[in-house]
Amino acid sequence: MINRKEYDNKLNFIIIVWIFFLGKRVFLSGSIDLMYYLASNKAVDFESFPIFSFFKELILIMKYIGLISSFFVIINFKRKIFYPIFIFSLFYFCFAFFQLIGTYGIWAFYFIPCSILYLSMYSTNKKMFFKLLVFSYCTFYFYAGYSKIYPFWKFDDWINGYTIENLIFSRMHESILYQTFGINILELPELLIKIFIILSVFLELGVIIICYKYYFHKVIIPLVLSFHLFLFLTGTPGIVEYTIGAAIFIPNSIVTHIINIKNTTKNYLHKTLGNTA
Amino acid sequence: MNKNKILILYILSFILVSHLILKLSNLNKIFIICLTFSICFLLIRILLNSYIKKINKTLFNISICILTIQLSHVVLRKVNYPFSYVGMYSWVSTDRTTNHIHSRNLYDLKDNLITSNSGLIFSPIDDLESKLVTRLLKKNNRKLDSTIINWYKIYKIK
Repeated sequence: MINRKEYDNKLNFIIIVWIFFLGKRVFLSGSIDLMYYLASNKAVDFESFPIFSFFKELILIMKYIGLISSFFVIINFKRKIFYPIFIFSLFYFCFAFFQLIGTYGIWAFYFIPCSILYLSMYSTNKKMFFKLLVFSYCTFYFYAGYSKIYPFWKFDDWINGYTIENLIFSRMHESILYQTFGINILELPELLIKIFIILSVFLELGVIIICYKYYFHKVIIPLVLSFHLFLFLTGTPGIVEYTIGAAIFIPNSIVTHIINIKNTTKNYLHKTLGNTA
Repeated sequence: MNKNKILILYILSFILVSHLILKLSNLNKIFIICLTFSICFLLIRILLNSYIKKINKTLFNISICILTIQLSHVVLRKVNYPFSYVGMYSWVSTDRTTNHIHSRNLYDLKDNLITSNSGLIFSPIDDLESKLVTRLLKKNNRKLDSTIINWYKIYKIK
């Protein structure tokens, strides 16, 4: 039986892991400096990218706001104030990426879970928010699977279409599978590819089972991560984002253990510094 | 019956009803969404009202709204909004559109790959930057290309 304190610890753990990862990935990325350089040299069309046209220095300002707010959220200093600032600056950049290159999956994956985590700070019912977090994770995969077979009578199009082939072919020369192992996925038997596609769709739809029977996450989550690993080997992005996203399912015993280590270290430091002083 | 089960029932009824309307009529998609939402919401409220009374109504209604937006994105085929859970590779192209490798990347002087569409874990530049550069290079825009080359003076585009 998991008690309230354990849910609280787990949500706190997820906040720290996600904010550390997102903060490092987005705000410390060289892409922001490149974006600023492109905006300064008018290499991007301002009418198409109105987010830059406001004033381009905002890109650098938002970068430092994001870095500072993520630091304060991680150390749990005025989290209720800095967390929304962090979310705002993060999604400012996500929107900028979206305007520049037309796609950026990270915001679709993290927007709702991050909002749920923020709302959980104002509630004592941590269990409900943890369940909502799991629910949002499951629906992400469910919708990805559902959109592939929508409408049902066009499921055949997805299997027989060239979508997968186009995607993999365009990235083949940069894929680890081809570069390192010399495997050309397009030379594999067509039937095998189709079976993999059908299984991947069923896996995405099947993630919703976790909402009913949480126990099944022990089977489904490793399968989902293996699926992302395989896609990564074929040159498709997302492995890091989705692996960190699966931090929701880290066992409570591990989270408690980490928190115990943190508390012991903190007490030791207090003691040592106190004695030194 | 708990909240999650009610929401999953809502999703399933939305899928079934939208498919039925889509199959039986030739209506506008926005109209299909509105009609489906009205039918499903009423169905859930009428049939499961006794269960809904026991749960937090505000949270329940917010969840229903979010789920409706996401389901509508599937029906409308709209992606890449922060609350859209549609997934990137959902679009079905029944024709072969690629018969040659068209990705353009940055290479160093020894012809080692520096950027890639999927991002590179071990690279002089980070993963996100790598994705950004490759996708900008795909635009085949001269101004963009020359600015990128000015920024990364030691690399070349290939």
